[in-house]
Amino acid sequence: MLFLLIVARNRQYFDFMNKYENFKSIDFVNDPAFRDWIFNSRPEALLFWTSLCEKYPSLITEMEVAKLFLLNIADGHPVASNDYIDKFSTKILLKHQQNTEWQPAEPSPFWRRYSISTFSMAASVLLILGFAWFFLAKNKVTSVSSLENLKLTGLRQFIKKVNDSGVAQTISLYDGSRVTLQPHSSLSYPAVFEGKTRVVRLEGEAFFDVARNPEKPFLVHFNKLVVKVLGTSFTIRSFDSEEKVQVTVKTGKVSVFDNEELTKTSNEPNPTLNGIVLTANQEIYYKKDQKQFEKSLIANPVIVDQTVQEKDFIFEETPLIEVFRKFEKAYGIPIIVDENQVQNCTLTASMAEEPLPEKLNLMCKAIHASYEMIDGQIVMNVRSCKR
Amino acid sequence: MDKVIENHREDISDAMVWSLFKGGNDQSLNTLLLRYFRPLLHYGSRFSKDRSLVEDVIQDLFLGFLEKRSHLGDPVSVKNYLFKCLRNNLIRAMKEHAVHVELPEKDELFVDFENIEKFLIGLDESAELALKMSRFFSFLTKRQKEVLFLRYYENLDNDEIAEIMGISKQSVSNLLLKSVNVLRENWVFILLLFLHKSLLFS
Repeated sequence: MLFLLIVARNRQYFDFMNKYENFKSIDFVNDPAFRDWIFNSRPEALLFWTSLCEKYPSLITEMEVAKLFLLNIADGHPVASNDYIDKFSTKILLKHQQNTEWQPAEPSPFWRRYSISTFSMAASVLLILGFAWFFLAKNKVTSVSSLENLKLTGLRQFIKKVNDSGVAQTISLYDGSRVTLQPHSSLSYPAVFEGKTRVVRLEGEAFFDVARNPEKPFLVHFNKLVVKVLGTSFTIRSFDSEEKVQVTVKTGKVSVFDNEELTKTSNEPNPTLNGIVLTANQEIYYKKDQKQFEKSLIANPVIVDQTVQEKDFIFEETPLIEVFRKFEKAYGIPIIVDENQVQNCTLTASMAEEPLPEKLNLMCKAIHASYEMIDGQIVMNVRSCKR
Repeated sequence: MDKVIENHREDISDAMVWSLFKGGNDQSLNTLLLRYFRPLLHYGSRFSKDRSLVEDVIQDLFLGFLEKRSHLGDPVSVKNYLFKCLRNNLIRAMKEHAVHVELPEKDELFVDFENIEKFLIGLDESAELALKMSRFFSFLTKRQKEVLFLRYYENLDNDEIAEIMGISKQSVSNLLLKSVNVLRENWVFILLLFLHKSLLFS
């Protein structure tokens, strides 16, 4: 049956080819399928066009001419990555925001007056000068500072986005980072990141997907704490109404600091900070009243190494130490184990879709071991597996 | 609503994205640009090789849309509308910037076929077909190249091209015919002769 189908399809294929038998270059140019192949270079179309050439070799030059003609029409493909386009649209939105926030005053009817009569113009100039003098004389100091303000408000001005809606909102930052802001939360960020760091301020809860830039650390200030990253993704939950602050890492590495400490040491050349480093699948709680960090694993760790697949968790007489390394690599969680204890141990097990805690339980049953989660790490306690 | 087009799903029509944009949805700007930034850049490069100028014009175009977003119309084709706006604004910007801009060319103005034949015959026999074709294109006017681009690269019909370029449908088909005739007429024959010769001797 399948065979018949293939034959039928092939016949169709060749009937279709007949259409091209007497084609000239102009006909190929006018053929949408041919153009599609040239412009979009679909691999599946290649087979058709090469077999057409094999069947009618005389078409090759006609096709060649048509192809060159079309390539000259397309002439140059400007390249722009999706990331680039994301930044481009963010830039437009920010510019628009600034335009609406700093609406220029209505143009004065100065010109109209001028055209009506020079006299009234002179009068208005005098009036304006008078006002200007009055204003400057009275507010000499404030006028200077407001001028400076104006300069600063350009691009460095912080924009505060408040999510009053019932659903999460995504904000694209200038550097390509994306922030998913949860309801009842707000984020302050500059239109453009200038200087050596990228600084934003969070109130509430948000998921950060930070664009990697090792030269410009990304700092999130929230509730007297600071999270510092180079490029990673993580969630911060910090509501004023709640006693605890929570940071959860999805990918990469983040450091969490006490803000006081960061400002204290900011003048030192090489500040050593008592921050806490979090890696994927780890989270910390910070109890506000005790000023204490508590690091732990998230309830259901996910595989962070994209190269690891489910079938990689099938073990057959695999040395235990290899099994542990596999887990470490897949989940990005350190496993602490006494290597001497497991030297001659092997594991035969098949685990695939179970969540990590269940995988660990299964493994422990098989090798008569137990495990603890301490400080965001897994500590294996293997009693004896020697038979 | 943000969630709906979060992943720039292709099954959401341009018209839908456009109406979201009009309704104040900022995410839809991103979707529009992900769909049309590259085509606009490509089309814009027909007029100016200065990419930053083209990008500036695209930026200003969308800034303008944002400013009057609630008063925007509903174009039949969002893409064609964007192309048309880009064309107008870009030509204006190029005039303003006093960038060397080719004055509107006469539609009739085209390659002198006699000269082409002479030119081709004079070419070294081993010269490649590709070189000849690109030489031929250097004889085409900007408008002819633009029509060819819209017709064959963007797959637009004559009506749409006329609308975008702001010329009559008749002018479009004239421009097209003259550019494409080249493939039908004698010089391709000469071209192919050379090709066979060069193949023979290579």
